[in-house]
Amino acid sequence: MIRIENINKFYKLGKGRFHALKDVSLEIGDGEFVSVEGRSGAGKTTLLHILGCLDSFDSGTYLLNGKSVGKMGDRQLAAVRNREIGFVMQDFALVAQEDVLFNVMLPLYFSKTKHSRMKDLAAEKLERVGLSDQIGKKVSQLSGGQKQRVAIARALVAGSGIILADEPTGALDSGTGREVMELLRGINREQGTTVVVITHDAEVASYAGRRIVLADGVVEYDESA
Amino acid sequence: MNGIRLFFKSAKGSVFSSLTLFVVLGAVLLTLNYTLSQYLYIRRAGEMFENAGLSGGLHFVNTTPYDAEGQEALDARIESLRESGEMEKLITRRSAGVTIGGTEYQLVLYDVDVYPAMYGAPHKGSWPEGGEPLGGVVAGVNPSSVPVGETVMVRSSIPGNDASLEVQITGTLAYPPMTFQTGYYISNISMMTADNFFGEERLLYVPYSEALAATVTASFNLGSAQPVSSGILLFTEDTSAERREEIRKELSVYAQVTPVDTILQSTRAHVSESMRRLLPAPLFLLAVTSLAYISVAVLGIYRRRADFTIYAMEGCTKRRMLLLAAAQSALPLLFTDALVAAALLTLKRWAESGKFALPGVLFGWQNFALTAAASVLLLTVVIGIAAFTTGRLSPAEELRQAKE
Repeated sequence: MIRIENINKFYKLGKGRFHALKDVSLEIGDGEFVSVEGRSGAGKTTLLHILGCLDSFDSGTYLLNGKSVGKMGDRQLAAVRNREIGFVMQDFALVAQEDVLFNVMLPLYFSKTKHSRMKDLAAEKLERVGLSDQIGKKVSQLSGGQKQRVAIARALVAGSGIILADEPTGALDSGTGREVMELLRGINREQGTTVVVITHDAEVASYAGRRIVLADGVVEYDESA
Repeated sequence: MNGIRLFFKSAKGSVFSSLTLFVVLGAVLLTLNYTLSQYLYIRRAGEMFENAGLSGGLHFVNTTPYDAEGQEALDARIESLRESGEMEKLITRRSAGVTIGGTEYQLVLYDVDVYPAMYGAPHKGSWPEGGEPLGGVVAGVNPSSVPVGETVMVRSSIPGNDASLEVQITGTLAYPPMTFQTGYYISNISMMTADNFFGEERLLYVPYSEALAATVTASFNLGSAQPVSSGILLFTEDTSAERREEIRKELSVYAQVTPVDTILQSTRAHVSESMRRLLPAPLFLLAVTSLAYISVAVLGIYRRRADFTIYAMEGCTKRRMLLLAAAQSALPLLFTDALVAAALLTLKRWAESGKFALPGVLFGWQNFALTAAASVLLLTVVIGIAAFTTGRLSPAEELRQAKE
């Protein structure tokens, strides 16, 4: 469960500051598939970064599975990102010079998982996303769609209950984009993984069971589709 | 453990690409250490002079020893100083060519007050205390091959001469031995330095006594008394400074005379001058190599910033990220240091065992300290750069910058 209340975020802009998020309050239940839409500069990515514990906020509260994130130190935040949240980014955010297996195993290097188990766990997730035959390949040799599948497998490998996706189809053609969204929907339905997708694409947003629209840092619309 | 695996998996490319740089850095560190070792040798020579209590004495050398009249006059002058009570003792070489087990040595009679003070404790064993049985300290050979504690037969090396002595080996000096010898002279006083009074001969030191000196002259040298063409004259405490200067002038008629204090002064000046002369080149090389190393380290960390951001996203703490970033540059440096330290240790062991030694150099703890200090300095810079470039910004800010 994700609950944020009256979240405010400011950025320095020259001598002044920019109010990116204004008293944003949301609650996302376990197993929901949510899209967050809005124009460029609406605060979507800022919201995703705060939900993903990648950035701090200036005021408000954030409870993630009952734990208050605002009071956590670096170590605790890193542990949250490792165990509870998986990321799927527009530019895939993969280590390009390494192979598929390393990329999927990456979160496990920062966990207490025994090394002998890591490879099996990674292989399991690669099978789920249909890339068992690409294990030994370098990421740079994959297509965009395959890279995004690797990112999804990585997001699942540590047992995360939440996937945060920032424009996951932004670098893909429409056909491949649909495949990726189908995969995310399938994971949401089969495993009950909470999925939050940031997008400005209406077709991508249609995969979600609930749509949230941000405009100028405020929630303009929040309703199940 | 996972962190170490992650490091080795991800850093191997950058490590191998900068291998040449680390080879050069290692070579520069060795060059710097060679310069330091030359300094250590010269400094040790000066210390040995001072430890022996030679300060205040006069070093003399008859540069025309074949001038019989001149040598006789010098001998007479020295004898008169002994009789007048102004000379406490004369440190000079009384020796004979001998063999021990077929190997040639010089049997040297040494002053029991001066030599143990000069050399300090032997590498193994102890200085003989005199009396029966006759004890000796071996110098100039591999200490591990010296039978300390055993009695050996010392024979004359002159063909047909059956003179022999039983000597119990009580100790052995380290190698290189820095065996003391007088008789060095150069007109340029600044070059009359203590390190020129030490060599690497194969010697058997036995304590001087009148009886033993007579035996050596009569039996080993077939009655031929060695002329005292060089030595160090030590004054009694009563001899005033003015009188010492007078004596110096008197002796200068027959020999080249240099006060030991002048030798010590020249040594100190030579040490600092030689460091000024020798150090700039290796220090310049070290500076250039260090700059190259730091540049490679910085580039390496910057090249991997995107990777570190991904690590942060997936649960890497700032501390671990700093360690990964620093280790990428620090571990090859530590490896280079380990190799340099191993090379120095090997050279030191070889020198001590007589297997191999460079003339005029000494290896000591200072070499390891210098190597460690240079590395700590470089490591501090690298870790500082790593700390400045990783984990300073939040992962979100890093992602934002990467997009820009």
